[in-house]
Amino acid sequence: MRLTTIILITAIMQVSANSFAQKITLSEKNTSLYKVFEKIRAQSGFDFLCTKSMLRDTKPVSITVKDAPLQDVLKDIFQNQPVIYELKNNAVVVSRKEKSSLENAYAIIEGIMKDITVTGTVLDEKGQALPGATIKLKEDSTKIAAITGSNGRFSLRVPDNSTVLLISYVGYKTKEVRISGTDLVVRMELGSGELEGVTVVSTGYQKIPKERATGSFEKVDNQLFNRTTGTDVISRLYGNVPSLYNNIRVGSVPNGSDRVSALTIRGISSLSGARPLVVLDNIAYEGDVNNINPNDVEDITILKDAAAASIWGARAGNGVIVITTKKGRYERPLNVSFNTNFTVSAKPDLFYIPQISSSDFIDVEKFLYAQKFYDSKITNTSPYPSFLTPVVSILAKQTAGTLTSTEANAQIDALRQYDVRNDYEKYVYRKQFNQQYALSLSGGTKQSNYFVSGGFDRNLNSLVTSKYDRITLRSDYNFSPIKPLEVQTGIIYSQNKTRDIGGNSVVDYRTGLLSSIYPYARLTDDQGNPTEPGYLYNLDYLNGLNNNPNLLNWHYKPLEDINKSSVQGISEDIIFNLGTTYTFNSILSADVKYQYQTTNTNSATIYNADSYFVRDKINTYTNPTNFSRAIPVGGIYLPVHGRSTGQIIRGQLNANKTWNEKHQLIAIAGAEIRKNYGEGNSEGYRYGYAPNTKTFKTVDYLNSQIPLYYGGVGQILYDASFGSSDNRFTSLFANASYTYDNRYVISASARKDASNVFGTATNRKGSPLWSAGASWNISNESFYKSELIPYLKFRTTYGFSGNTITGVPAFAVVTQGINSLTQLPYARPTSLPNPDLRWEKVGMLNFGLDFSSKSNRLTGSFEYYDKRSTDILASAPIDPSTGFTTQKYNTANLHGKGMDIRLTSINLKTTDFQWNTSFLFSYNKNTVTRYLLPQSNASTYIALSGGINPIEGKDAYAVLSYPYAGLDSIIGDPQGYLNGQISKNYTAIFNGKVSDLQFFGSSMPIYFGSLRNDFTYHGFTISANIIYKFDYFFRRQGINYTNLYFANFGDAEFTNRWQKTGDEMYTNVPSMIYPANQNRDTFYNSSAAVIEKGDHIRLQDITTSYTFKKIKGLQNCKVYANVSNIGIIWRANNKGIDPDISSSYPTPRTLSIGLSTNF
Amino acid sequence: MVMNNIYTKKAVFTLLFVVIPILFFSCKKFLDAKPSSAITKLTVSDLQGLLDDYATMNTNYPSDGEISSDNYFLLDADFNALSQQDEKGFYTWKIDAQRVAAGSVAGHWSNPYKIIYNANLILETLNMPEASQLDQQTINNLKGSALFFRAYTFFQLAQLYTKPYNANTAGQDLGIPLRITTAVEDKYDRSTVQKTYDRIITDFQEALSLLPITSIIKTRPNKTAAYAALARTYLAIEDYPNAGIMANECLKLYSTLMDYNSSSISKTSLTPFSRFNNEVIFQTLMTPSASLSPNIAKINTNLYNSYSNQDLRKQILFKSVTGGFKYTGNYEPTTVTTFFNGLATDEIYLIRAESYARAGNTLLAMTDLNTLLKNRYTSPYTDITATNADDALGKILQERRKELLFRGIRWSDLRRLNKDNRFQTELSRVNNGITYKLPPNDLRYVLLIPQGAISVTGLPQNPR
Repeated sequence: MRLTTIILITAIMQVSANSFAQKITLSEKNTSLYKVFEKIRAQSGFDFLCTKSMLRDTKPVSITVKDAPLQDVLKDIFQNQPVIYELKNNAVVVSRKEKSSLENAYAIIEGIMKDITVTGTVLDEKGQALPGATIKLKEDSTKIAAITGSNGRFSLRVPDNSTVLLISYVGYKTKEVRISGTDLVVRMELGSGELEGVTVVSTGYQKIPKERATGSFEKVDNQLFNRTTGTDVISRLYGNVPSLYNNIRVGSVPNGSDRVSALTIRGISSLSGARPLVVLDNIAYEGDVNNINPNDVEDITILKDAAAASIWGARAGNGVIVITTKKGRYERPLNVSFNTNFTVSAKPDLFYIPQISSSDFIDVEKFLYAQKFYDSKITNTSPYPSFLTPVVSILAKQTAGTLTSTEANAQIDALRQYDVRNDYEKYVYRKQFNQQYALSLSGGTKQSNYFVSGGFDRNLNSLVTSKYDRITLRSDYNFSPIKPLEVQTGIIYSQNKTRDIGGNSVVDYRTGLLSSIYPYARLTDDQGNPTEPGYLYNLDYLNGLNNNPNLLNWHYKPLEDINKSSVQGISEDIIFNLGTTYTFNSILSADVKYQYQTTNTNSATIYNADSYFVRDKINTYTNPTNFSRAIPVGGIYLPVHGRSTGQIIRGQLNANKTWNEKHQLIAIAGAEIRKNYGEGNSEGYRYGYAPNTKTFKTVDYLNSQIPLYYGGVGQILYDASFGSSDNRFTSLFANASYTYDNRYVISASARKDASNVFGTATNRKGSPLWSAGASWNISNESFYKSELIPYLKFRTTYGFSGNTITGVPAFAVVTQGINSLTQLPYARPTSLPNPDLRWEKVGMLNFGLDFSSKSNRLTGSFEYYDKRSTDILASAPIDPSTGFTTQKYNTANLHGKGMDIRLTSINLKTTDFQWNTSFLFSYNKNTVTRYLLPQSNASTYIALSGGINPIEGKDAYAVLSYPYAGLDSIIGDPQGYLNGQISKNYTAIFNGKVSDLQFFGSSMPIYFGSLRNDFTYHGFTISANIIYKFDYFFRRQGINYTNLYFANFGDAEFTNRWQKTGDEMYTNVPSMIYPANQNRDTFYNSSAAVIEKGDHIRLQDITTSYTFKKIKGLQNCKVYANVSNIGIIWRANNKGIDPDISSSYPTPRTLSIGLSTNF
Repeated sequence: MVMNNIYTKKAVFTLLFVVIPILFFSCKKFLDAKPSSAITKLTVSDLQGLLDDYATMNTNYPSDGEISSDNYFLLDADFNALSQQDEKGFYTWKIDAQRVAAGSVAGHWSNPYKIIYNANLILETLNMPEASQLDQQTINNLKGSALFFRAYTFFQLAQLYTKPYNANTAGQDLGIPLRITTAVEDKYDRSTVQKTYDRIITDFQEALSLLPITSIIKTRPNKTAAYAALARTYLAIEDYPNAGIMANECLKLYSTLMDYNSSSISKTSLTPFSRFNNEVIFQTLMTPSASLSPNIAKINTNLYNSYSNQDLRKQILFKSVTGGFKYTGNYEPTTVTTFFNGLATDEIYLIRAESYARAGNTLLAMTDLNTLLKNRYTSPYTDITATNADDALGKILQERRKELLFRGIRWSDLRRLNKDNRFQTELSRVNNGITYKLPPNDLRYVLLIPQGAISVTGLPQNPR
């Protein structure tokens, strides 16, 4: 049935130019409005546009005017009418003020009687489904007719075939579509304006437009993700997401493999270091995140609260990172995109490490020598004469009378000028150089689409021996053989090759075998030739063996040896995805997804035949009487293999129904089953290895009585092992959200997980978890009429997620092996069984407010959350007469609360220039509310390394220390308090109560965030990110005389030590005493004297790019550059310490340049 | 197209509604897989593996008593150069000498109790129905071994942390926690000294009835070892008749001594004895401690001087180094500080000899002593004689002192012999100019339990 529409169009064309000056003359009494329109049209030539029904309720008009201006006349006749008007060109457009209830009822009746149903799909500019797009009828654009579902589909009834649909979505140009056929495909084009606020977030199970979500999501879009460069995916999130914190100081290794484990989202929810869950294209990712090529990543969504994350159930307690990769698009021509960049890092600043000066250290050695500290070392010959540092040997020679004191002093003083860090900087470290290349091809026909990409990364690490190569290949092919069915296939292959320095060589300064190398050691002589700084054996002893034909050269020159041993690894990761989606109708669809993932890691430690490691082994196992060799000449080889496979199958039903134009229901339900199997083995050391023929020689691993060259007996190292794991999970899940009139959204989800990793009592029971949420788009209310803030939304959620801690045994853990000495198989329980082990549970309440001001000048969100984690696995001390000292129980509770704020502003905007600011602020405080079986010795709460330190009522990362009473004035001993009195009874202080300790705060910042400014001028952009962290504490290194004497390492604060009475007035650094008192050192380094405030502001990076306007054949051609790790702008500590670094050097500054383009 | 549609629908439905549910129905078994190869429900076949875990069962026996004993001294320079504060405390008999350093509870209290845990685990598993599939001989062997290890470890702990046995006060004196179950929830307070030794003897006795006479390797206990351990235990509680009986039974089964005259025992080697040598009945080692390192521990001068030049031990057990003599008589062939403290025939001969002497049997006592010494002195060896039983006892105790050093036995002997006026010793050490003394029967002869163990459990600490 047709809606009767009357459009009044003049029959007579007005030739003369009509203008507002036109005068109207009327004299009417109780004339219908329609008639008045006709008269005015006749006089002025203006058309009136309206429908008959609009005029149904209008009142008759009485008017008498002479030569009155048109505007005045219109004003007059429209007064007190239910319709309003607008002048447009030469027409008066009439529209209704508001609908009467009768009119509404009429419209509904009319709606029911309509009989044409139109379905269609709305795609974004990339050809991907655009959920949440609004569909209106052109003829009545005041109300929403339909909204697209998560698959971009919509369905509505329209009056007739000539109906025009208006399809709109924030940030896109509104599209007019004439109905043609019944299944439309509408591709949206980006609007000219900014894209802020257009966010479709992915939970890994479904895609939801952010404005329709109740939960707490953070989206890192492609542009933000690619703001910085780098080999890995995770580090690009740092400083870009509120509440996401990278705990570098405690958790992260600069080149470490597991960057995710150092991440927290909204603080910790577990005491077992549980990491956020990583989801790659809808499936939990079990592999090494470093294997994902960042160039394949389209965007990342972070799920923060229970409603967002609860769909991941028992693994979501620490938040979820959902990585979505780029996909092919239907009906697209071939698009090739290319990206490359080069990154150079500065050499590590070893001089940042506050190390005692060579000269001071030499004085310490002289002091110790006088105390006879080295006597037993000098006289020791068993099993071989010990290594003596140059100063000690010179002093020993002086004592023996082979050097005069003048000669000795001259020789010693000559050594004072050397600092081994110079040699490390010069020969062991280099500027790290990373190359990255990525190429992708995508396109699609009506029936299929594809995305194929390849990436290559080559990193030459800062250690001269080390490098990393990665190749990634990806192929995605989706096809739709028949209309309602889509089949998705995908293969991802990645391979990385690493080469690192082998054992027993010069390695990372301060972390390797030679870490305790004396400060004035030299790796080369004046001419730059490698020298022998000395290591295990006395150099005179080794020199004495030089002419022994039965021995190999036993000298060790680290720089000569540096490339003679290596750990070489190759790791291959293959993921195979198969999925089908079947769309039953516009409401219901079903997905089945299957994934097979396998990782193979093969690595080997290879010692060349001429490496020191090999020569030392061969010599050591040379029989001292007959000089026979128990270890054959040749290389030594230790292969290690690892393999893991994961399989998952998931079935899911999706429903999406919009009815009566105001109601929308989106629901999913499904089930999932997952199995991860892993195994690893070390084949054991192989000897006599010939790399060319890949052959070995046999040795006698079993004989434990092999005579050693320097006396005693030994056994040849074998070290073979095997282990496997098999974790299985089943899950049922459902999620539904209902939207009413684009104003109210309620959502709920439920999930139940079961697994084999917990106690027999709990595995089957599973862990049922749920969440619920609601949101209110206040700005869509009719009463809301703010021009200042046209978008305002309030949302709240509450629900539960969990943590699945694997590796904590519910059974007795028994490791098995063969004892090398007895050759008997053994079994060893390594922890106690706990059949009641179960999932940790995290409950979270979230409030959020999203807003944007006029023209998106200021957009932002405020969120407040309250998180209570219960049944947290905590390691509690148990009666050590059980044979074990700790046991993990589900005993602890945590209470976290916090706030996330994100503000983005457009500060300046002209056609040429734009200045945006993005401000992120996170507040997070985590308190341990329950912790059973606490330890009672104060010393156990010191947490020297600054990690999780659970104490009831305190921050989870509590920093505590012994109160410090300064130095005593007589010998400069550090003093603490015992029962309120100043005391030096360190043992008694250690055994004190936790309440005796001074509490500082948290070692994780309570407040942190970033401030980013982006400037755009034509194609040129420049952007700088500042990161801040406030309200936290860290324990710096202090002087430790035990370490100084025994490990050759002392803090530079040695210079400020107490030396005479009176010094205690201005220094807290204890005096040097002999013999060293370990307890005194421990006390000082655990005292308040070494606690510093961590607060600081850092200029993290500056990035810049230029996009070329037009280059023939190229699109979006962009060159870019960025500088990262620029430096600290302000810090609370006055010692120049980088609070992010605990005992290493600061992350070196890097410079990247790159080019990306499409064609 | 329509047909296709129907087929596809069917396929999808099949996938969704048949395959997935089947997967879930099979879940029961699916979730029963063990999550790691390292995670094992203990099976009876693992039980022998628990006993054969050499690193757990045969090593790391407490050595703090040895540190506190008078077999050695440290030069000031070496003492000062030691970083182990706790050991320095034991060396100088500090009033609060105790293990407080991080990790020391695990190393010095929990490790011995891990042996006891393994033993209890075996005994509990053998009580389960699955154990019935084992043959009786296997059960006996497992049970006997578990009881043996438990008693052996209780004994070692008792020598450090309880008062020396005194029949009059043993019912009240604090013993060690006698943990005989694995469950963490089971609380064990300190027992009494009487209960401690009752438990040790009962367990050894039962082990004796179950164990085989010999074992394939000396890391596994057998009847001989059980007799030897009982002899050692009865000696510690001054039940000399029973000590003698047990020593005798042991020597009836195995009595081999090594002749130090033999060319296979090097007089120059730093490790003259091989592992599992002929005197060893049962192998255990003490936990390493820096202060006992042969590189710094110098032999007590009086003790060294007490060896005659005909005594081969003077050359074999000791080597001259700057500042004194170092010990090279370890029955474990190593130059580091893991000392053999297991059971060996030389000790059993000395126990039997002492028992005979205390029973007044001078002749048999001296026969045993000469049997041992004949293998220690240059040949031809002339038997030494005693005028009476007391003379014999004195000579036997003197040889005991010279034979069993760095074997973890001296501390126990000091505690026992101090109760007898005739054999009391006041220990004395000069360190950095200060003289430290440990008078006989001092409270410090009972070491303090590591603080961490006290803190967690609230067990009463030994008095000071």
